[in-house]
Amino acid sequence: MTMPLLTQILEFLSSLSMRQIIAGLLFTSSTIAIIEAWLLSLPALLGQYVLIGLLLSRFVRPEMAMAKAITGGVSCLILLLTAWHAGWRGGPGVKAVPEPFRLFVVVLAGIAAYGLFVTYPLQGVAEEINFACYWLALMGFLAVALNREPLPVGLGLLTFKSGFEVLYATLEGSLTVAWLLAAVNILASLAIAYLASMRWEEP
Amino acid sequence: MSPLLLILIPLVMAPLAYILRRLLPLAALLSAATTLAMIMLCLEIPLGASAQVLGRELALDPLSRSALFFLLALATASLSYAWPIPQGQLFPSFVLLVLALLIGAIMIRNFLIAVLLLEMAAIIAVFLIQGDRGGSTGAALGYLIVTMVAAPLLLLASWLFDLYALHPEDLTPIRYIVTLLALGFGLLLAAVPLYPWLPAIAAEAPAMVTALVVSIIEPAILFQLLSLFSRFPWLMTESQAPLIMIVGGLLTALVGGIMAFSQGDLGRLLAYSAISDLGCILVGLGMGSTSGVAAALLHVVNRSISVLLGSMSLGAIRHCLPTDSFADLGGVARRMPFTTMGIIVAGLALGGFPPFNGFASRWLIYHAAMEQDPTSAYLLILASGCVILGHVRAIRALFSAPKGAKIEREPWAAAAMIVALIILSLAMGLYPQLALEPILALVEGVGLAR
Amino acid sequence: MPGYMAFAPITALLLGAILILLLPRARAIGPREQGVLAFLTASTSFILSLALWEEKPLSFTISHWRPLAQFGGELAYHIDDLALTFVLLATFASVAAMLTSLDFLIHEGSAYFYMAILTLLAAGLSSFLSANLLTLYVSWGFLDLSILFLIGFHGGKEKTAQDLTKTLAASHLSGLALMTAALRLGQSMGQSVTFPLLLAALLRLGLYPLHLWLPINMERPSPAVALLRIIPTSAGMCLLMRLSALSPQSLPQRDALLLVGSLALVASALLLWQGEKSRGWPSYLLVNQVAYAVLAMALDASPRGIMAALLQTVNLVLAWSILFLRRRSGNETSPRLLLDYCILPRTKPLSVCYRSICSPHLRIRSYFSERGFVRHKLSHIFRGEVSLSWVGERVILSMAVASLLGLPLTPGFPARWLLYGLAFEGGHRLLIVAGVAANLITAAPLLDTLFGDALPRLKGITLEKGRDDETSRLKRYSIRAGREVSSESASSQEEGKRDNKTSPRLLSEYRILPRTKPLSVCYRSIRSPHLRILSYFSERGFVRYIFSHIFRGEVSSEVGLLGLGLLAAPLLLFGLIPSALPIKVLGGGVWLPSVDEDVAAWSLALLLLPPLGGYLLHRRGRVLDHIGLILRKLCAVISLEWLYRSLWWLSLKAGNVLQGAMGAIEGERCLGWLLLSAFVIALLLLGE
Repeated sequence: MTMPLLTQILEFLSSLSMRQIIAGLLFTSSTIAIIEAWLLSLPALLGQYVLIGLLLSRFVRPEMAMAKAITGGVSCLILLLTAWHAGWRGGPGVKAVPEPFRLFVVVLAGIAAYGLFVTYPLQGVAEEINFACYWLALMGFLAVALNREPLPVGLGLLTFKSGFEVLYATLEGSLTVAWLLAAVNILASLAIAYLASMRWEEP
Repeated sequence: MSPLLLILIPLVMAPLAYILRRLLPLAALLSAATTLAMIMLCLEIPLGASAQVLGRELALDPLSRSALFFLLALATASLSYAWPIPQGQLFPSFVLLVLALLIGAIMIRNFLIAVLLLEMAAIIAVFLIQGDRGGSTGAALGYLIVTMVAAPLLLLASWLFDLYALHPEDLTPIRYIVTLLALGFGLLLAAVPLYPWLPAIAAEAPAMVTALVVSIIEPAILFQLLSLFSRFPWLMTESQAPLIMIVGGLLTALVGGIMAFSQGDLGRLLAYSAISDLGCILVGLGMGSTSGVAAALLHVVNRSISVLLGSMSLGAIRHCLPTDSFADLGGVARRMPFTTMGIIVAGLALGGFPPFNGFASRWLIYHAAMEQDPTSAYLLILASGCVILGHVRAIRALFSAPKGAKIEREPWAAAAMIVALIILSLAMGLYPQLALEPILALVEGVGLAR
Repeated sequence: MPGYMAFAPITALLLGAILILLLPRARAIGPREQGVLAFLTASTSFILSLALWEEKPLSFTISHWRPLAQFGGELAYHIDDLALTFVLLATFASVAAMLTSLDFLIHEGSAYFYMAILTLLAAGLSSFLSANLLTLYVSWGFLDLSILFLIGFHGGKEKTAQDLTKTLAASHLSGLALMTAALRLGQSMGQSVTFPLLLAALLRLGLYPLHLWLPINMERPSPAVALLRIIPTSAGMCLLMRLSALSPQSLPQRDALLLVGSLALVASALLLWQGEKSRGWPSYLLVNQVAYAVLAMALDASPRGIMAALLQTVNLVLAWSILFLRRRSGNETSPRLLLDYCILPRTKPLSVCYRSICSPHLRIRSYFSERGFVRHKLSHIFRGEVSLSWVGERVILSMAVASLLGLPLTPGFPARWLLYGLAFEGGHRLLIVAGVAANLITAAPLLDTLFGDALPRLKGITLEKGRDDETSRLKRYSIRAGREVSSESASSQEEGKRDNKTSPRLLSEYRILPRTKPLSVCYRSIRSPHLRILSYFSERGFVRYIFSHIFRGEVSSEVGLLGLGLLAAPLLLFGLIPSALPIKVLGGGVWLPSVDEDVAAWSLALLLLPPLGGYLLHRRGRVLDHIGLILRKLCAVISLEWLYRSLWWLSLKAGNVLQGAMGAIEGERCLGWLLLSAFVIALLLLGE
């Protein structure tokens, strides 16, 4: 029962076009930047990693794309366990930035990303990779800048890192490097999880 | 004997230290003994010995051996200090992990892998920065942000190095390389204006963790920068890197000095003093001459010792008092004379005050700078004056009248370590040739200068 | 003699400092022995310095800073005439200062205190012996550290912390100027080297208006506070004299220096006058005397100017120390008080007090009237009823005051003579006017010091002039000689309790009186209204008594007098034979410049008349009290405390603003700032 479902999901994902993948990335990264609640952000992060894996599978070796996706899955699992255990709410005296303002800023950042893509296209890199790189990096920065709590900030950092890795994977073809980058991501997730759990300990 | 042992031993001992984390003094001593053994091993492994890791060569050459010896000695001192004054349950074990990664980064002959190893070491340091402290996570989060932003920049620079190597006639990548290196190393070293993360760490993290970041991790990062200059001489001759380092260094020294003067607590004062000192190092490296580079390397050594001393004294203050704010330091000089002397000596050494070690290396840099551009020497002198005045304020606070609450004395072991470092600082200040001559030989032998 | 002997005096001091620090921790010596060890260490250093006399010139390298081309110098000492003169002066003054204040050292010193004194002296010697500017800068750093520890551990109050801040800040500024000069020396000569050197020397000297570092709040007449002023001032003077080797004709910025020096003379004199009544007079006196030395060097950097400056330095160190340390042996050592009581005017009978002497308390009543004062002094001197120590102290004080005023038979006289001669030759009339005015104004407070405290003061006791109920006054003035409490009224018991704070020392010093006649006999024979205390010394008993009391912690004022005498002896020597100075700068020992008779007459007049005028001011001081308020306001302005406080306040405020701004971008909030900075940097680097 599970296997046919999985096969169907994989077939569905494989059939996605580039535009659909890019649109999915736009949606997931915007969600991470706008929504603070982990119940929505974490699945968005997971979806983001899956889409990155799909995107990269069109340009690099499948092993590297798989490494990205698996890394993303592990990171999301770590963060999910932490969020479940530590909770995720606004800290004392820390006012969350309201969602409408976040949406407005995300729109501005999106326009900026598109402007960068048009004005400073990266040489020797596919357009989709180019745009995804700028978009993810800017959204990641935005998420970090708009939040104070470790978990949302961490998601933003991972998003930024994903944007970089999308580009770097096409430039550097070494599997060793890919796995090392994966190790760095997992380590970063652990660090974010630790900070999130310490955030709610007594000082 | 393989140099791989230098990485494997701390990796093996780290879990042991972690298991013993509830018995903190024992874990600290075990870790200190491990690093001490590694020092001896480092001296035993023959020069030129190599191993293959992840498809890249890992080798021990004279420069890396000197760097390892120095970093391990500092680590031993830091771990020993954690015995009388605990620095968190994770400290002994995670320091070993950080050391393993730093050693790998120093020995591996591939800049890309080295950057990734450095990034991992920095991320592990985030755990130490937070420590057992609940509540605020600002300092640790700041360091994590900086690390995860800086590493990609350096990785891109690494790719551009390879691109330029394939097409040396195309000079376009040079500008991008220099920009990416400036941003990446500037972030990791806390050069102005990319420095705000360091004072936050000094204010919130345990004192020895600040020493770990400034005295151990930063020199390892500087080592990578030097390795780049050694492997790509065109960086110093055909690019604007030297000018950027000199201008950036002067800005760092001046802003760090002015900010040091305006601080109101010991932690931030130490951080800004270290930032200002970094400016001197960058100016020395930027000069590119043998004397300038040698002076900069000597200053790296002296800076690390001074920051370690300052951190030990800061740790003792925090152990015995609730805060390290100037307003609460009244009466400390009389109750904790060794700690007071440690803070004074560390601060004055960082400001280049004679007869301490910071003066000798600064003198060398000033001397080298006077030959090339006297204005830079005067600006560095001005910056050092500001740092000293900042420490004068701290000294005033230490010697002011007690506020009423009884102050405990520092543990004797911590006092002994502080005194030992004071003596070392004085000895290196009066006899700098003991360290300079080997450094000069290294610089000339490895070809680090123009 | 091997070269390392040049390091011997400093080594002795450092070893002594380490021993003093370590031995008490091992409980090997107590507080008393620490004081004696400190004194012996200083004496050893002086003796070792003397031993170097025949061996000069002598050089010794402390640390070979290699490669030499990189460092541009190494740490080395060189002994020549000038260096050794200063070394001998400093060590001698330290030994004498410690001897003068031996009771203070024994009772109130601590290990850190002695260590700080000895390291201060070692640092000073290191400054004098430095062979190059690099070594001098390192020595000055050592000096600043010693000052830091001395001020820090000597006090503990807020004002001490203020002094610490000012002293360190100013000292460091002078060090930076010196370092700048040292760096430039390898590049070029001329103004770029000599001007920073001059600035460094003036800051270290504390010439007005650069007198910031002087610790005005530290007035306690201890040897530490004396050395705190003498050593840095001497270090600055030594550098100023060395500067003449770089500028043989004249110091840089000569005209400005003359103007500032003249201003310093007058301003410091006014501040001294005002400070004598409140606080700060030792510092202002020092500033005043330093100005004379600087002016001499500014007028002529040749041997004549150096000679004048050197004589003035000797004058300054010795005479100032006498005045400063003598306050130590003022009010609290009662043998002098007791013996002063001999000088009672015969205006009131004291038979009443002696009738009640059978009580366990010794009652002494003393008061003075101006009419009877001198007559009774002389009468008691010739009747052998006044101690020689009191007389000796007065003589020494007079010499010190005369030297500071530039009167004949003191080293101040040839110093001023040379100075005025040079001023006349150069046509510097403003300087002459300033010098005369300063001397006039300075004379009054100095003479106050000499005559003004003839009234003995006991703690808790007020002396009253004029007649009152004798019995009640007797009760008030009673001093308890033992533990028994009198059966008198409660008020006098209270007075007595207060008196008890002074009496233990009084008692101990009574024992210094040789017991050739029991005191009871003396008192039984007292029928006249005066208290007669017979005190005399026999040579056999004197030394034994002194040392026995030293080791029992019962040091007498006579030891203090010996210390003052030590300081006075060279004053007398150099006053009579100025060419006895060890440094042969003039060759042949001829110190008087050949001037014409008119100039000589004018110089003599300018030297002698102002002190006379000052004496008149001292006697008619009440006239000037009417303009006291204006004077106080003027002094408040010219002291420049308001300027330095404002600068410090401004810098602190600016610092607070910066600190607040930085706090907004630290920690997790740093990303926005980092991005902005990175963006700007990228634009700068990538844009061409």
